Formats: sequence, C-alpha cells, structure tokens
Amino acid sequence: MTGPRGPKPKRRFSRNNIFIYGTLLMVSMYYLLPLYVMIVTSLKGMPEIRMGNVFSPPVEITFAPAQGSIVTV
Amino acid sequence: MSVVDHESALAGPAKGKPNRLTRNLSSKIAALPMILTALVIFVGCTIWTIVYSFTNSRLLPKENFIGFDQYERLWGSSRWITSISNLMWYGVSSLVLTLVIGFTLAALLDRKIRFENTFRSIFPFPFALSFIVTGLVWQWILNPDYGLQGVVRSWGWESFSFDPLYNPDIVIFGILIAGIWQGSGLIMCIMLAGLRGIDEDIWKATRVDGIGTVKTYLVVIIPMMRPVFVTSLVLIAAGIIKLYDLVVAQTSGGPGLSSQVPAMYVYDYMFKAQNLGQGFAASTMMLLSVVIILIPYVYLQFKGSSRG
Repeated sequence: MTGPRGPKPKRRFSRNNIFIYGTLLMVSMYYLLPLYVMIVTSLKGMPEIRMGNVFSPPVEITFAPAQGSIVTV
Repeated sequence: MSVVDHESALAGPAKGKPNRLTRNLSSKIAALPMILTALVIFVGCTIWTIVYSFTNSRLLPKENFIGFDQYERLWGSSRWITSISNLMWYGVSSLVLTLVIGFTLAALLDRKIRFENTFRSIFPFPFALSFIVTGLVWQWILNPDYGLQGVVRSWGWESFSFDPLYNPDIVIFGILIAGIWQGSGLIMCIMLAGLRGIDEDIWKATRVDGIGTVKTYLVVIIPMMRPVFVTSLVLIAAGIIKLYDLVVAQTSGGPGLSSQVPAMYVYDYMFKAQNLGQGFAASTMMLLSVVIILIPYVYLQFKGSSRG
C-alpha cells in the first residue's frame, strides 16, 4: 500500500480551533491593554493626557517629561 | 543506629565510633552563620513582635504589659473587620480565578497550536512589572472619566457604568482585576510546565478508551498534577497575604475605608498613628493566619514525600 490512508484530515478552521484561538486572542487583549495604555500615555504631553481618554493614540508625540499626575482618587 | 553504622562502613576504615556532633564538622561550621541569622532575625524578631503586642507601646516599645487589650481593641475596630473581610473576598476570588484562568490558558496552549511562543510571552509579561505600575495603569483604565467607562460612553452608550474603584461595595473587585492581570501569567507558566511533564502515553491511552478531551483533563490530568497545584496554591496565597502596594497605588484604601487590607492597617498603626502595640497585635494576627494556612501545606508535603 502506498500513499496516505485513513479519513480526510479535518478542515483548518474547525469549531475547536476557532474556540481555542478566539479565547486566546480575547485573553491576550486583556493582557495587552494596559501595556498599550502605558506606551500611549508615555508619548503624550500633559495637556493631551488631561483632555482625552487613556486609549486615544497620541496626536503629538513628545518625549519631554510631564509634570503632575493624571488622576487622583 | 543501624543507619549510622552503615554510613561509617561506607566511609571506609572508621577510627572508633563516629560522633554525631563532630561528623561533617567543617560543613556544620560553614552553616552556622546562616542558622544563627535565621534564628535571630526570623524567629527572634517574630517572638519579639509577639511579646510586644501584649504591651501598650506607643511611639517606642515599652515593657508595660496589658494582656489582651490590644487584641480586644483590634477586633472591636470596624476598620480591621473591613480589612479582614476585604482580604477574604479578594483571597477567595483571586485563588479560584487565578487557578482556573492559569490552568485553562495552559491547557489551551498545550493543544499544539500555532504562535504558541507569542501567546506564551504575552501572558506572563505583567509579572515583570511592579505592583505600583500595575495599580497605576489599572487606576487609569478603571477611571470613570478617562478610562473604559468614558470611552464606551463617548461611543454613544450613555448609561454605561463601570467604575469599580469608586463604588465602596465592589472596590475590592476593581483591585482583583489588576491582581489577576499581574499574577495569573506566572501560574499559567507553572501549569504549562506541569502539563508538559505529563507522559504522552496517558493521552494515547485515554484516546483508546474513548474519553473526551475535557473529561480527560478533569479526571486524569488534574489529579496527576497535584504537586503543581500545591505549588501554585502556595505562591498565590503568599501574594494574597502580602497584598498592600496594589491597594496603595489604586485607591490608597478608599473610597472612605472600603478597600483597606490588613497589611495597610499594620503599616498605618505602626508608622502613622504611632501605636506600635496595636500594629504588633495586627501583625501577630496576620502571622497566625499564615500559620493556619501553612500547617495543612506542610502536612500535605510531608505526607506526599513519605509515600514517595
């Protein structure tokens, strides 16, 4: 006997795979969101931090140190 | 006795009976500083703290013993009760969620997927950050004006409300979100290492027997991973008892006193209120809770090793 035997291999996007990759991607969002916030906020100036929300990308990239704190509880 | 004879026989022609005290003398001398340090610093200071928790020391420790008064005051204070209940809620949820999330992620990563290395570096990276950084970033994200709630409201869902850090009833779960973000990656790594240690033949055997994947995990794999779970449990429990900097960074105990934790109570009474006796009493209670948790662990470990 030559050639591969047995049933045809499953499709690439089986329901199982979609579940696994979907879950992993969603969980990665939860883990990467604060990293994104950290990087984005580090590139903003103080007025921009006070105006917008923490997720908006920086309009003007600045490397100068910002004085004061964003929010206080 | 027979063990000693056996060892001396192995050591070659012994000159008389080996003395238990002088055997391996050089290594004993070498270990002496470490033993002394451990005894004096850890055990000694612990006992010192316990002894002074029975005094009414204020700014400086004084030997003015007043019995259990400090403990009565401690358990009569609503702030301490809040701290304990917060720690219980945080502890139980954090323990369960971290174990479940850690194991689920590890199991998903173990399904021979693509980009495994990418996912495997994403999940544990928060562990490299300090609790202060973690707390600050999550404080921004959970802020009602700048963070998640503000963004969703600006999309048009005006009644959307998600501000756990400003609601005294659920503030501890706002802290939990950050705590799990920080800690679950490490547990995932440990679980993944445990899963990799499971023999491939086990999987083949369960496939032959026709057991489903989920059931295999629950019935076969998890019982086999008991030591891994015990290790994770101890790591998580130690993190829970030490919970302090996350709360300081996120809410500094507020709103009001609703997110106080015991470590904060100890610190505040010792160094801010200058009431050493009260702080010592609180830290002794914390030590007691650790000991209560530790005894079953030591028992489990001992039982496991004696059975091989």
